[in-house]
Amino acid sequence: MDELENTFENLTVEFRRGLTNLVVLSQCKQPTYGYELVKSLDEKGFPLDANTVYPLLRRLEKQNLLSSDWDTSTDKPRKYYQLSQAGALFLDRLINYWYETVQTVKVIIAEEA
Amino acid sequence: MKTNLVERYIYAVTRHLPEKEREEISRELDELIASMLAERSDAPGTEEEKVRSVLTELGNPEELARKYSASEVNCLIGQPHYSVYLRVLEIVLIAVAGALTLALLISWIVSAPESTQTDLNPILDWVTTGAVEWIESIFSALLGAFAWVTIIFAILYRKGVKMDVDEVELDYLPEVPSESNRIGKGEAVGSIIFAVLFSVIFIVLPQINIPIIGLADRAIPFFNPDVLVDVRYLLIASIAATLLDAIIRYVEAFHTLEVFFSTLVSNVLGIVTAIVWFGNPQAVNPEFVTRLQELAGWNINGFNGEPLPALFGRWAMLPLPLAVALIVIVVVSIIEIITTAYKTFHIVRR
Repeated sequence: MDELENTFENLTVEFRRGLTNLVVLSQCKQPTYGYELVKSLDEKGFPLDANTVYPLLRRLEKQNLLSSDWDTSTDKPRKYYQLSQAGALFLDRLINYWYETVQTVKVIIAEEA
Repeated sequence: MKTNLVERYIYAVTRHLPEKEREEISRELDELIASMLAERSDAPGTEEEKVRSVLTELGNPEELARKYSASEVNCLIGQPHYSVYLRVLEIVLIAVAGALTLALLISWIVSAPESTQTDLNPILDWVTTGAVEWIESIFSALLGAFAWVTIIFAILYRKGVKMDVDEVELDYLPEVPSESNRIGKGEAVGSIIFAVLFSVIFIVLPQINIPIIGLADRAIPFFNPDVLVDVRYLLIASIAATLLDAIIRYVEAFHTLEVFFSTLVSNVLGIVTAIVWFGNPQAVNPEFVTRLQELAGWNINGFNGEPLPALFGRWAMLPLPLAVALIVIVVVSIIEIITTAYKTFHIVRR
């Protein structure tokens, strides 16, 4: 029983890991900074650790999916990330792919034995 | 104290990262930690406690650095390299163990003590030294081979060297063996036990071999120890082949080509050994024969009716029991070769 519980846990973690990029990209339509993203995802029920989000934002920037800007106008300088043009197209593709997959899987799961 | 701790944490993360990224990541982390601290500004506790709780939440700095280093590489050797690694590792380890064992076996046999007296100590020393040397060498050699293969594959994986493992060599897939041709594990275990007993009696303790008690004031060995020492290399080769055959049978578990060849080699060696050993006119301990004749008062006669010790000079006049044993060994070995061949090639053809 305990082992099954473990397997379930591992599977759901894998699900979420696979969706992390999609979720984070989708939240960068407007300029946003890392910690804000961490807070809002937590509120929306898709909690991600700061130590996951920060490196991920940087990686997405390196892949030219996000662009960044330091806002130094306040006494707390913040790095704002936003979808690049390529990132917006990429996100659209990802979203479409996700919906298609969900639809396909839905049909498969609903099949009567 | 607070800044010190934060600085040290950030340094611990960035020092593992490429030079050009350090500053940017430091700033980001600084911002993140400040935000997290601001979040906790109303919470109870000293400033240092808050810093500690924030840094604890961020986790191990090296782990964080790994996440920043961006690559998907989060293991030493991942797929597809891992599959190839396992295959190569297996081949290398078997090859190293085999070659080393062979080399050590040869040098061990050459270093065999010459003494044929009843003093067992030199022989025991020889056996223990050989075993210890073998274990030591095998251990360090396998460890070294394992390390090298692992290091090389870790580098290949990290560098992303392409490996084609998609091509499945369909023609080389092994045949599915039928259940009726399974080799019982007991068979292999049986031959291993036999080989060990045989080795102890005839190779390690030739001065005692099969002790016959009651003929004299001490036990008399049935077989001639001098002859046993003379044919020692042949006995060792034959037993090594038997052991190898047993191991191959155990591992393969079915009649494969490997099993057939190892059976062929070990049986042919067995026949040769039996002919050379039993064919030696002095194979049976002359002392035993003499004592037996003295005690019983009758002669054990060879084929030509002459008393035994006198006919040892001629190969054609083997004492009857040994002749029978020799014939049995040869016949049994040949039958085994033929049945194994039948079982093997029957499947291969199918």
